[in-house]
Amino acid sequence: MLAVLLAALEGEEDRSLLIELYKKYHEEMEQCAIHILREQHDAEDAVQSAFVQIIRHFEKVRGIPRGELPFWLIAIVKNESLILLRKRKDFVDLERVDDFAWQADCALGYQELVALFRKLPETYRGVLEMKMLLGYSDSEIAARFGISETAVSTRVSRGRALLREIVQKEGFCL
Amino acid sequence: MTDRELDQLLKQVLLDAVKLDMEEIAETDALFGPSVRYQRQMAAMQRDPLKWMRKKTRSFWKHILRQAAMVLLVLSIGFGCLMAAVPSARAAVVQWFIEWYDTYLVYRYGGELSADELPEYALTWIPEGYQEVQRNNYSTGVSIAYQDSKNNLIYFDYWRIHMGAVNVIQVENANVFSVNIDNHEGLYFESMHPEDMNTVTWVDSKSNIQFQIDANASKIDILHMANSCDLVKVNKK
Repeated sequence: MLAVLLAALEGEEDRSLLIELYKKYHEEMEQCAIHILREQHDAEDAVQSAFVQIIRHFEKVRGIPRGELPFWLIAIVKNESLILLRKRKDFVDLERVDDFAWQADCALGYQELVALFRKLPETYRGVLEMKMLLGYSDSEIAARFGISETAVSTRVSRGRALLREIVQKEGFCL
Repeated sequence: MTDRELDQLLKQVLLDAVKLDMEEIAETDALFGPSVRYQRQMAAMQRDPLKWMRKKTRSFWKHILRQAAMVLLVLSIGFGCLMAAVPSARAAVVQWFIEWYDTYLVYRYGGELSADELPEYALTWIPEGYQEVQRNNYSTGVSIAYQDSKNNLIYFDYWRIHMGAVNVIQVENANVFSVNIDNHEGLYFESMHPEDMNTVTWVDSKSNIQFQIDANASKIDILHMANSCDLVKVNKK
């Protein structure tokens, strides 16, 4: 635990960067939280939880291109808000990935692809974001969402498989 | 397409999806109105992120196991005679008491929320160089922030006390002193860390209002500010 904390923020430069990120993007993060949770107290909790995650994983911040940082922060607070929402609702969403896969047959073009992934069931998308964008480990993701590591691994695999299927069909190139 | 290229594409798709989320969020009608407590938390986060994070992630149940709880029931002595003479006055009295835990204390209140509008109070003395930079008016309280040229802050809050409301004050790494503010019982919290704020809080049992000042200032200055707190305006409905 101590090693994790020491790696989290190293020195004054990291602290200054954290403060800079807070000042630049806290309003957007707060708006994201209130947009999802619609309740002030919960939104404040979600933003604070997001900053706990940011501080805890600050070594990742150093490796993220500056242009991507705001989206990284929004992804974190969005997922913290969804985690809180799930706890509040106290039920498990039935995640209709099969419906989603059917829609993928109709995907045309990159914009439609992005729109399609936006429609992914919340936990699915959250798992993919935490894995691919935020670089969390399977066990960290499992702990945050309250699901098994197997479920995390399955979601990531299926997300990749779905994208591969679309790419092969539509012939996307990088 | 290789696995690595696929992951790169997936990452880009997810990023662009978040961008679209942000556009939708910008159009939301929900407004985020930061509470006093939230603002203090974020100020503490900026002052010492690691310390703040450690405090936030300390699990609550460990507080319960470690605590040596003392419950003090404090009744407003000033109302004692009034209550004896006018039984109906008992209904108007808001009781408050303090629960002491290992690292924090909780002010808890009983009684109904007053229907009267919150009066207006002001600190008639603040240290030189400070000026008011923010004022938030809530239905049951007011929060005012003062700042000087070096970005030092003073928070002055006051709020109606009533059943259901609580006030939590961290006492870890702080010495606690009883004080008297304008004949009202209060507590002064002196932080052991010079970079942390010191706090004074007191309850005016007659008006059922609790006051609190947080500042990076000396005990003398903080108590001077507290004693300078004055009623400016009584708002009638």
